[in-house]
Amino acid sequence: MILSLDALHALLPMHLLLDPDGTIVSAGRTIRKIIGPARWIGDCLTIERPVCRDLRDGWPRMLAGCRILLRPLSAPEVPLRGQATAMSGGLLLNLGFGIALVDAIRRFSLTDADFVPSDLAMEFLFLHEANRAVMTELARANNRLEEAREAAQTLALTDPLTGLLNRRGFESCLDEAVRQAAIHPFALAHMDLDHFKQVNDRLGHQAGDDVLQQVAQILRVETRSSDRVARMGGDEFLILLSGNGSPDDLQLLGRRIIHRISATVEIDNLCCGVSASLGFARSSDYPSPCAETMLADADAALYAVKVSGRGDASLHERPGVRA
Amino acid sequence: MQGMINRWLEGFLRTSYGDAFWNEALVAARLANSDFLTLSTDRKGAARRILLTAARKLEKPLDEMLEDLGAWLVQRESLRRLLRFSGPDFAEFVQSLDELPGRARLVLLDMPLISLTVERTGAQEYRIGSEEMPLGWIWVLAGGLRGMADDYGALAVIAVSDKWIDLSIVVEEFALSRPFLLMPQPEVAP
Repeated sequence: MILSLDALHALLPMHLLLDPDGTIVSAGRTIRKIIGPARWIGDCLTIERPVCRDLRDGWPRMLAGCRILLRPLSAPEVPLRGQATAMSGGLLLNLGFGIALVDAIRRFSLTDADFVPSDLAMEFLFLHEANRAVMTELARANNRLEEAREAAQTLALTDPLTGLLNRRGFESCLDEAVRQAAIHPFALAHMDLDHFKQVNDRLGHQAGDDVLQQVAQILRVETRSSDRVARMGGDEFLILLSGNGSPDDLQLLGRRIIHRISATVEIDNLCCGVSASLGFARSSDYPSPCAETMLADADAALYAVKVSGRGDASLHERPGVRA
Repeated sequence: MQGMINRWLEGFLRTSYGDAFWNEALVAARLANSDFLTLSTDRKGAARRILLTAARKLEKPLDEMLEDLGAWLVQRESLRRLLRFSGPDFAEFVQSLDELPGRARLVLLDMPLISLTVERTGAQEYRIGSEEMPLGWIWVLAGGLRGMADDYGALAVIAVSDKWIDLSIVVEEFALSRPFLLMPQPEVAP
């Protein structure tokens, strides 16, 4: 039994029926969109597989069912792959686009009518587009999650009033600094405001908050991007200063900060008499620095300043000697 | 998948009724502080709550709201295109509705197992039903079918009951079909 040409056209829109000399006896309607009205294979297609000199040379292998790859002369970027079998003394090939389907559709403006229901072309296109849509959706969701996570992270480490680090945030920076102290020495400053309680008592908490925000801003301005500033609660601040500042440098910085605070912090455009005291500790003063010790020593230096009249900055001397 | 549904809900309510409405609905549904969009499971029935709240605020019956949602969904270019792959005309689209859940499962691995049945009840009449569809989704489907009939340019009469949809195609080519190329033009985002 032979397949009639009508049957071929109905079932196989991508078929080619060839004579041994290359004449195109029949071509499916979709193939025709690619090869145009060509009557002879040499006018429209090159045979890439099987590797052969010409059709006659490749004929026996194609008859035997080897894989065939043809390239249209008009569109070499859209290869046609398939296989062949003998029919009516000629060669019947059935071809497909493989993953070049998308390119083929674009290049030749193919529509639904160019494929038969048994072809998986529509399913392929559906999957292709759906996949991209889902990927985009996932990327969007991931970005949102990442943003939310970062926001939550920042929130957990930030003092809401001043925007400086909070205790938790500072402690993690300090731990890291201690770990790297040998290569990257640093200094720790503990600062308390002087006469802050009076502001709160006389002018209220709103005024107090205002002062704290101004102080925070001064600290931001007076420190570098590699430094870290935290508000520990109340009117207590901690500063992590990167680098191996000399005792003189640190005292200079401390006094500058104090001066800025006492000179510029105002409420209702009036200087309110708030000042500050600072105590420092330097990592290079310790053979093996440790967070608790440095914090205690900076605190001790601060205490010494307060006891001796406030409004000054002092470096803790002789670490390790202190009980 | 829930995140996607929530995103659609938000998109639908925002574009149909405005940002202010959406924010008020979130507050009324006690969802204002959650990240509604990234909920990966329907915790505390958030999606349901927001829909009920919105319907109450608008004084619309819930099924009408769900139908509107369905119609809005199929207007989104990405979804509309995926649905158009099911058939070159509206009749074929309707007939292949039973394959739709299968297609969706090819891409949405966590999609619940829902089946759609399509029964031919006349020359151009169909009864579409589903046993496992969650409550209310039948209305979304109905709205979607209305939207797709428009898209294909067909005139159809759609009647919904609790369990199924009765659809009859009155005129197949009533208006021009919205354009649909198998391949979108290169610069268009999905």
